[in-house]
Amino acid sequence: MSEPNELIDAARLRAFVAAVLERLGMPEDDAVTVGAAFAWADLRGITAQGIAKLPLLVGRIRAGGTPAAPAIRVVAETPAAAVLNAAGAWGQVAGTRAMRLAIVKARATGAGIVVVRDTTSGSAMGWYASLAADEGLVGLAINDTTPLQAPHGGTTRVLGNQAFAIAAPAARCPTVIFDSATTAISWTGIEALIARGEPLTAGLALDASGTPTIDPAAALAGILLPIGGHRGFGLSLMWAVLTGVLSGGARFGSEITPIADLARSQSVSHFMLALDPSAWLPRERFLARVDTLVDQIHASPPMAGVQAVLVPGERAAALAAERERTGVPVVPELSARLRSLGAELGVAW
Amino acid sequence: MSPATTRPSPGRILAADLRAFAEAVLEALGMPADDAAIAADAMVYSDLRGAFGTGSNRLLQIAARSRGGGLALHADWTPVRETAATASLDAAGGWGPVAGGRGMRLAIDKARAVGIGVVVVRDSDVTAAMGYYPALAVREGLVGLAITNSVPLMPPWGSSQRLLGNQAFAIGAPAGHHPPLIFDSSTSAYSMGLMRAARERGEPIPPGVALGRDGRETTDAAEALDTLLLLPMGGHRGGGLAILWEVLTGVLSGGRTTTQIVGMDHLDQAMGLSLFLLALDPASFLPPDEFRARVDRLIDEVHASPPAPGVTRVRVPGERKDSIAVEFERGGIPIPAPQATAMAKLGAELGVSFPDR
Repeated sequence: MSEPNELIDAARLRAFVAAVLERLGMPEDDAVTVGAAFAWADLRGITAQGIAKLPLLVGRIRAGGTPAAPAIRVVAETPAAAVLNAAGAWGQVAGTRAMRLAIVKARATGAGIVVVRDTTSGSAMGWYASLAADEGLVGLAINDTTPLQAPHGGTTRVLGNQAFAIAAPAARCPTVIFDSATTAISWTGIEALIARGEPLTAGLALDASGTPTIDPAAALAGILLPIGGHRGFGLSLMWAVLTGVLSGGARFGSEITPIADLARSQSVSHFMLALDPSAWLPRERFLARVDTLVDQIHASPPMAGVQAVLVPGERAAALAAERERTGVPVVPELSARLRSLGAELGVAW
Repeated sequence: MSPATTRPSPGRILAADLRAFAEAVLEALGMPADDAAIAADAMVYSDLRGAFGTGSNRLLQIAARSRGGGLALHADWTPVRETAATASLDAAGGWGPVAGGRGMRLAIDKARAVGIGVVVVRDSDVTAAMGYYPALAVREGLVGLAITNSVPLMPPWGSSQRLLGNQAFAIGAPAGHHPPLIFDSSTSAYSMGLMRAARERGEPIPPGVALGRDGRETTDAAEALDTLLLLPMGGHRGGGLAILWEVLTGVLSGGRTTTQIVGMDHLDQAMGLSLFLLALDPASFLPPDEFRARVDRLIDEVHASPPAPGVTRVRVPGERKDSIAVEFERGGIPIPAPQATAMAKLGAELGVSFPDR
């Protein structure tokens, strides 16, 4: 820990990502989207889904698993629904387009659902839900991922951790953003424990032989357990129906390949729902009602040992506001890697 | 489903007879015939799955709540607001499964027309079994999602003061040769039904599912049912989901939220629940037969997972209850005797005879 973290201005981080991706042949709009999505995660402390993922994306583009400029097409469409064939596009490129289309549809008909086939993991799902909330809409985003979860009572990996997020805009309070996996701990949560050399809490995972473990490395090689046993499993299975099954993509369930297989298309699916509250209530009234709910939560007396009762997304929003001012911390190994990646492509870090 | 035999097993009641009895009782109480048919269908749906607590025994509650003035037997189901894909209904204190059943039917019509339909209902009474609502969509080959709020039962994560309901929800999808997937849950770590069962057997509840009088976790079922401080499933995760489900129900409906919702035991007061109902037509996304075949494949994958020690079979949500429904549809429903007696008494008061057992 001799070298301190570098603090990078969020605008510089966005510009660096966009420039690197454009050099690799990604269209400017898409490259800017990925830069914005990475910075969104880094600002909120979701480090594993931020710029730390750029080397992986670059590796996938170079190895051929992720085309830089695929022809993303709408393959089915109604006034309120659509299917996008992402043709292997990076998750944030396809998912962002999908949520934007869902928002357009919701503005027209009150609700919009866009399902994406043949993309990669969506990274931080809160990004997509917040795109809707930023426009005054309610957003729900789900993706399926590489299998790492056993069905309740089963012993083999059948489902991903099926991360999902729901966001609702408020008037004076920050946007409520709930972002979760359906496993009791997320893949990136375990990677963070490995990095810090800490054990897992009991009851979250099994090793490859199906025996409960608190060793995070054994858990990654083994099986993650769902939130709340059969409840989390049921939710995860229904999310698989709304993503991979409904998208008509090449793979779903246990067939989805790891993102680290750089040369292979992952064939992840996304589900994006946008709802325009003004279909139900005058817009200002809806926003004020969300404020009232947030106020009620804040007014709940904290338990012993708890400082304040918070709503989902509140801590991350405060961190983002701070990091917009101070910059995003980047660990030395990553900044060295990004600097040399930039040098290769003629982009200054 | 196979045709029912004409005579039930001893002590059992045929689903068709129970449905007819429930409809007749509801009409005698003053509910319009078309609403009574929906309410009775929802009750029999629960009874067929062995969920007697949300089945036809709710007739007694309807009688008590409508006589007390808390439940309205008539409502105007014309949407308050409407777009191509959405609608808002005001149940005006009407019975939940009627409000939710009508809401889901409207969502299904919209989904058929534009791919999806989202209907939000406000000011509803008891919502009963959530699985019924997506099952209505599934019967039509559609995917369904239903969410409700409830009287406060859970503190927000980090507090020990009740604010949010346990926010029951259900999602269903049709399959091909398999029974449909029906996932029915709440956002609390443990159900009230399991808590009552533990109290009756004098057994403890698991740690981490409820808080006691001192605001700390308890494993005493009686104490947990007294304090009604349920903990969310998966800690902050279930707690967060409960908040967003409140946004999609009470906040979006324009109805009551959180502490404004009244418990069903207050017979003279409207409860003020909300329902969020979403239907999605798979045919808007891919050929419907392909969708069903893909759901079958997903179910096959789950079934193929070798069971953990002590588990006989890995099942998908809804599977166990569906097999009960197949058996009860054939041999009749074993309504528990005390419930049957109470229903027969209510029927007699209203001049409706209870089916032979």
